[in-house]
Amino acid sequence: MSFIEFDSVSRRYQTGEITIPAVDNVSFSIEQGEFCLIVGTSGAGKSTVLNILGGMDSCDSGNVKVGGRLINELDKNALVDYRRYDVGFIFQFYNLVPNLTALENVELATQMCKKAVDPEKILTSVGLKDRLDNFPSQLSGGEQQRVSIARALAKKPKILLCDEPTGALDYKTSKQILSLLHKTCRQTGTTVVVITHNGALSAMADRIITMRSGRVIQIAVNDHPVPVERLEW
Amino acid sequence: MKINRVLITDAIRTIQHSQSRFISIIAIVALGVSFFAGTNATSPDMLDTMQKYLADTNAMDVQIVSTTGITDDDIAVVSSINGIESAVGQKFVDGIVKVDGETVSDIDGSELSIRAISLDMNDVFAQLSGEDKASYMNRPQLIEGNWPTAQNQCLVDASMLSTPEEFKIGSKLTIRGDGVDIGSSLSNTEFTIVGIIRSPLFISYERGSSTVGTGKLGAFCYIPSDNFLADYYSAMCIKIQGTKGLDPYSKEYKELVSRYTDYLTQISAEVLSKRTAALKAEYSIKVADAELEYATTKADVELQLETGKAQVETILDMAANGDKNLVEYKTQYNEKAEEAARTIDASKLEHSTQYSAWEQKRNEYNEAMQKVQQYENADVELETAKTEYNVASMQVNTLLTTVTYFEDLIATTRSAMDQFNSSQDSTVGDIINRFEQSGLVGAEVDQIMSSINSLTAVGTAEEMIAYMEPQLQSFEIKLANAKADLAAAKTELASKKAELDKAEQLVAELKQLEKDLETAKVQLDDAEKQLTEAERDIQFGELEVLAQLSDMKNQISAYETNYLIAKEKAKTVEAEYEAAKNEAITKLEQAENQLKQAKQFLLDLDNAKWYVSNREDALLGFEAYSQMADRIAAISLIFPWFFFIVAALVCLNTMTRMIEEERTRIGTFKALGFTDEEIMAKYIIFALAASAIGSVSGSFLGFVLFPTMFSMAFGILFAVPNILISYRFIFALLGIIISIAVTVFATWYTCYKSLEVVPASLMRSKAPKNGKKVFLENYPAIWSRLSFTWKVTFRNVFRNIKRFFMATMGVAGCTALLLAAFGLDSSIDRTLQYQFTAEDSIWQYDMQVVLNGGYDTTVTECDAMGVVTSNPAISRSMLSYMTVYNTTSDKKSDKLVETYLLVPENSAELNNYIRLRQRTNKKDLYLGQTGAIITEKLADTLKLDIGDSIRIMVSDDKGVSIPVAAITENYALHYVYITKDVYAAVFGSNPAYNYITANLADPDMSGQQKNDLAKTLMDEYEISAVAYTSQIETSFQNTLDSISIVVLILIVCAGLLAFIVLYNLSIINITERLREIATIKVLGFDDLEVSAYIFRENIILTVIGIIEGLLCGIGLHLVVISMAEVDIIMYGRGLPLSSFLYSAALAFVFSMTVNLLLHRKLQRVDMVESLKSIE
Repeated sequence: MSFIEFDSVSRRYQTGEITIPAVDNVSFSIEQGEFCLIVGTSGAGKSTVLNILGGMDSCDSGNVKVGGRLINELDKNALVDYRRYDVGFIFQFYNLVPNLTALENVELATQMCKKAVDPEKILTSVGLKDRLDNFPSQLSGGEQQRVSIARALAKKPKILLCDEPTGALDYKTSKQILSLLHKTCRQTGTTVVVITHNGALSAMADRIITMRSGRVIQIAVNDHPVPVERLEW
Repeated sequence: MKINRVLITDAIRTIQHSQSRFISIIAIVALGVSFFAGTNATSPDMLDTMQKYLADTNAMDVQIVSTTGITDDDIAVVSSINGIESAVGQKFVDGIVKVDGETVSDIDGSELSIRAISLDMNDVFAQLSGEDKASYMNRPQLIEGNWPTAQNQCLVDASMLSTPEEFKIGSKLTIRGDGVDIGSSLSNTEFTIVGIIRSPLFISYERGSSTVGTGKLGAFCYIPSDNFLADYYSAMCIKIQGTKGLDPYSKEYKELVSRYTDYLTQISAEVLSKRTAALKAEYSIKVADAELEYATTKADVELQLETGKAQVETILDMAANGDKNLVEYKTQYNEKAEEAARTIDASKLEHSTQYSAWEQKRNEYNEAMQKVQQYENADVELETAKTEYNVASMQVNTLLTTVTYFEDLIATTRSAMDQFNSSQDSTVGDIINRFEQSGLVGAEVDQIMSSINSLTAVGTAEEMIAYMEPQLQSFEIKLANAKADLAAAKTELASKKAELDKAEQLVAELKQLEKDLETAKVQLDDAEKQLTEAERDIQFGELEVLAQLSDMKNQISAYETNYLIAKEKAKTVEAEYEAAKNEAITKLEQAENQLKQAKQFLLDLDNAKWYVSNREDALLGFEAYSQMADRIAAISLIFPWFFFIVAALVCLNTMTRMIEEERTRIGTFKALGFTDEEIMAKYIIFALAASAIGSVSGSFLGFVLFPTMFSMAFGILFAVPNILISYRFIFALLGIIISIAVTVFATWYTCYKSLEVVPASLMRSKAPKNGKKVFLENYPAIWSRLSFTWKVTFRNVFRNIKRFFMATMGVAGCTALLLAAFGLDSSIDRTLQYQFTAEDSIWQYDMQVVLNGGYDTTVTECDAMGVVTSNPAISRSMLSYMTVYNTTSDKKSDKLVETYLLVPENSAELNNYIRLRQRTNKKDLYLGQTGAIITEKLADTLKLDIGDSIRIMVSDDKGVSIPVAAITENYALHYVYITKDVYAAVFGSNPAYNYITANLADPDMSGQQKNDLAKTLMDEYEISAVAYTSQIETSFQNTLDSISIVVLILIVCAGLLAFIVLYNLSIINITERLREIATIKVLGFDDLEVSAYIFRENIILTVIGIIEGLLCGIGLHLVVISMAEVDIIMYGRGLPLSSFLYSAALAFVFSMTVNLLLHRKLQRVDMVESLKSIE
C-alpha cells in the first residue's frame, strides 16, 4: 500500500448552472519519501489535487488515503490536526505574514506543534542564519520562499506540498529552492509533492504525474533522478 | 473630459460587486447625516410646533390678574386700547379635589389641589362649527373623549407627571374649598370627566401656585362657564393685533408685547382707583353683614354641637349600661308578670265566690218563684171568694130585707087590722096610708093595695079583715120562710166569709211571697251584677296586665334593639360626631376665613394692583419649552460632529481599501491609456453615489426620527401637539455637503496617491508594507516576556498606523460620546445630590414658609415666626427676606440674570440652612459686611470675580451695586446673599422679612405629615404658603430627567455608531487579511486559534480606543455640560469613576459583540478561495 493514494477522486465546481469538473476521476499513488512532481498546464487541476491532498479542499467522490487514513472522511477538527501535524504547505507567493520577521513566521508554525524543530536551526539550515530578524519585505523572493519552506519544515510534516514554489522566482533562485526541497526530501524522508507547469523538471523527480483538463494522463516513475543543478530549462 | 461608457459600466458593476461596501458607506453616512440633521432640526421643529400650537389655540399674549378681580368695566377699558385685538375675562377657582369620593395625593403627598377654569361652551361649539373668534383664547384641544354637554361635566389634561392616574374619563371630580365654601363660587361642585384635553395655559407639567392647599397647584380642569357664580373675573386674557404670525420667542414679538404690558401697567392705577372706590363701599356693608352672620352661625354651631354631644353621650351610656339595664328591665318584667298572674288568680277566686253567691241567690229566687207559682190561682180564688161572698152577702141582705119587709108588712098589716079591729072608723084609706106611710114596697103591698083599692069601693072592714087575715097568715109563712132562708143565707155567708178570708189570706200570703220574690230577684240581680262585674274585672284585669306586660315587653325589646344599635353606633358615633364637629368647625372656619378674606380684601383695596404678565409668566412652561429647545440645540451642536468625524473616517478607510484592492485594475486602465481623471471618476462616482444616497436618505430619516424621539422624550414634560416635522433644507444641505465632501475627498486623495505611481507597479500587487519594529521592542525587558502570540498581536496592531488610528479613533469617538453622555447623566444626578440630597448638600433647609407680606421686625412683630418656632415638628427656623431681581454686572454687561436676593435676619444662622462654601476646596464662607456672596453660576454668567461689583436692578433703569465678597458653590437658581446691614446700607431701608426658612425635626416625614404640617401652619393668617425642599427637588428632578432622556438617546446613538464602526473596521480588517488568515488556517490553526489571533488585536485596539476615548470624553463632557446647562442650573462638575466604567464597559461589550459576529465570519473563510485570489 502506498503512502498516498488517490482513488477515483473527482471535484466539481458549481458556477451558476454550469458544473466545471476541476478534477475528474483521478487516481494515483505516491510512495513515502518520494519527490513527486505533478505537471500540467494552467487549469489542469493540479492545484485542486494538491488542495484536496492538503486537507484544504474536499472531493465530491473517490477516496484520498494518506498513511492509511481516509482524508476525505475526516471531520473539520481532524482536518485541522491533519494540516497542523502532517502537512507542510509552500505557496507560489510564499504567504508569509508581512509583519513578522523570518524567525517569527517560522515560530508561527512551531508554537503550535509540540515536536517542532527549533526555528533558528531550521532557518539556519535553509541558509538564512543572518536574516532571522528581517521582515519578509526585507528579503528577496528566494529568501522569502526559503522562510516559507522553513516554516513548512519546522513542523516536521510527513508531506510537503508545494504549489508552484518557483513560479515567482528567477531561474537561479528557482534552482536553489528546488534543490533545497530535493535535499529535504532525501535527508528527512519527507514526501514532497511539487506542482509545476515546467515539464523540464521531470528529470529530478521520483515520480511524475502529468495532468490535463482534470485528468491524469500519465504517471511515470523515474528510477534515476538527476540533481536539479544539472537540469537546464 | 469625456467619460467612457465602459468606465461607467465598470463603475456600475463595481457598485454591484461591492454591494456590502457600498451599503456600509450609505449606512454610516446616513447615520451621520440623520443624526446631524435630525438633532439640529429638533430645536426649530419644537419652536415651530409651539408657534403653531399657540396660533391654533389662539393663546393670549398678555394676561392681567388683579388683586380685586376683573370686571366687565376693566375689560371694556382694555378693549378700547388701540391695537388690542380682543380682551376677555376668564374665571377660575382653586379648590381641593376628590376623585370618585377618594382623596387624591399630589406627588409630594399633599392633598391634590385643582383649578377649575371656565370654558364658554358657546365658544367651543362655535369653533367646532368653524368659527374663529378672536375672543376665544387659550382654547383647549380635545385629545380624547368629548366636549362637555352638561353643566356638571368637565375636561382634564393627561400629563403623566402632574395629572393623577385617577383622572379618567367617567370619573367624578368633587371640588371643595380649602377653608372656604366653594359653593359660593360654583353652582356645581361635582363634575364627571368627559374628555382629555391639552391647554396652552399649562404647556409644561408645572401647574404653578395656588391659594389653596400647600400653595402649589396640583391639577386643573375645565368646566362650563355657567358654573361660575361670581360676576367678576379671575383674570383678563388679551390678544394683541399683529402677533398671530410672529414667532412667539422672537425679539420682535417680545418687543411688541412689552409695549402693551408697559402701557397696561401704566394705566392700571387709574383703572383700579375707580374700582376700589366702588368696591370699598360694597364690601364695607358686606363685611358687616358677614360679621353678623358669622356670629349667628357660630352660636348655632355651638348649640348644635352641644346637642350632638349629649346625643353621643346618651348613645355611649346606652351602649355601656344598656346591658345592665336590660337585665334589670327583664327582671322587672318577670316580677310584674308574676304579680299579674297573682292578681289574676285572686280575681278568679273572687269570681268563683261571687259565682257561688250568685248561684245561691238564684236558687232562692227559683224557690221563691216556685212558691209564687204555687199561689198562681190565689187571686182568682180570692175574686171567686169575694164574688161568692158578695153574692152570699147580698143574699143575706136581700133576705134581711125580705125578712124586714115581711116583718113590717106583718107589723103594718097587724096594726092595720088591729086598728080596724079597734076602731071601726078606720077606713081602707087609713090602711092604705099606713102602708103608704110605712114605705113598704112589694108585691104583697101592691097586692094588698090593689086588693084594698078594690075594697074601698065596696069593702068593709070585715071583708078587709077577712081578706087580711089569710094574707097575714101567708105573710107569716112567707116571713118564716124568709127567716129560714136568711138563716141559711147567713150560714152560707159565714162559710163564704170564711172562704173569703181564706182567699184573702192566701192573697196576702202571695203578696208576701211576691215581695219575697222581688227581694230575691233584686238580690239575684245584685249577685249577677257583681258576678258580671267580677267577670269583667277579671277580663279587664287580665287584659290590662297582659297589655302592660306586652307593653313592657315591647319596651324591653325596643330597648334591646336600641341597645344593640347603640352598641353598634358607639363604635362610630364618636368619630361621626367628630366628623360632624369638624365639618361644622370647618364650615365655621370657612365663614371666618371668608370674613377674614373679605376684611383683608377691604384692607388690600388700598394696595390693589394689576399683575400684567406676558406669555412667559402666564403660560406655564412657555419659557421652559424654549429652554429645552435651546438645550437640544446646544447638544446637537457638538455631538453630530463626532458622528461626522467617525463616519468620514470609516468612509476614508473603506475607499482606501477599495482602491488598494483595485490597484491592478487601475494599473490596467492606466496602461490602456485612460487618463487619471477617467479612472478616478469611477471611484468618485462610487463614493458620491454612496454618500449622496446615504446623506439624502439620512437627512429624511433624521428629520423624522430625531425630532420624534426627542419630542417623545420631552412629551412627559410638555403637553404640546405632536412635533411638526419639516425638511430643513439648510441642515440637510449642510449634512449632505459635508458628508459628500468628506467621502469624495477621501476617495480623491487615495486615488490621487495611487495614480501617481507608474502603471507597471500598479499592476503588481501593492508591495506589502514593510514590517516594522514596534516601540515595545525597544524595551526588551517587556518584549522578551511577551509570548509569541502577543508579540505577533502587537506587531499586527501597530503595523498599519492608519488602520490603527482609524480603528482606535472609531472606538475612541464612541467611547467619548458614551462618556460624555453618561457623564452628563451623572452630572445631572449630582446636581440634585449636591444641591438637595447629599449629607452636606447646599440646601440644608427642609421647608420655606411664605409669609403673606413683609415684616420689618424693627417695626412690627412677625406672629408667624412664633407659630413656626413653637411647632414641635420644626426643629429650627430663620426669618429671611427673599425677592427676585434682575442682576447684571457693573462691567456694562447687558446680560440680565433673574436672581434671588436673600437677606437673613441673623446672618450667623444662614450657614445652618444654606451651606456657603467654595466648590473647589470646600472651604466654608461666611456672610460679612464687606459685600455679597454670590452663586457660582451667576458669577460665571455675569463674568464676575471677587472684588467686582454686582448690579441689582431695582427697576428697569435703576440699579444698586454691591461688591462681590465671595463666590459660593450652588447648582440651582441664582442667589445673592447679603447681611441686613448691607441691605439697609444699599437699599436705604430695613428688609421686610417675608420668608421663614426652617428645618424639620424629622426630615424623613411622610408626605401626609408634611401636608398636615403645612395645613396647620397655613392656619396662621400671616402664612400664605409652605414649600418643601423635597417638592422643589422633585420639580428639578423632572426637568433634569428629561435631559437624561435626551442623554439616553445620545447613548443609544453613540452605541449604534460604535457598533457600526467597530463592525465595519473589523470587516475591513478581515478582508484585508484574508490571505493571512487563510495561511494560518493552512498552517493548522483551528477556528478558535484563528479568532483569537484576530481578536487579540481587536481587543487591544478597543482597549486603546477606549483609553483615548475616555481622555477625549473628559473634554467632550465639559463642553457638553457647559452647553446643555439650563440657565438656572449648574451641573455637577467632574466625572465620577462610574461614568468611566460604564462607558468603557459598554464600548467593550460592543467590541465583543462585534467579535462574536466576526468569529462566524472567520469560520467561513475559505482557504482555497482566499489563497487563490492573487492568481
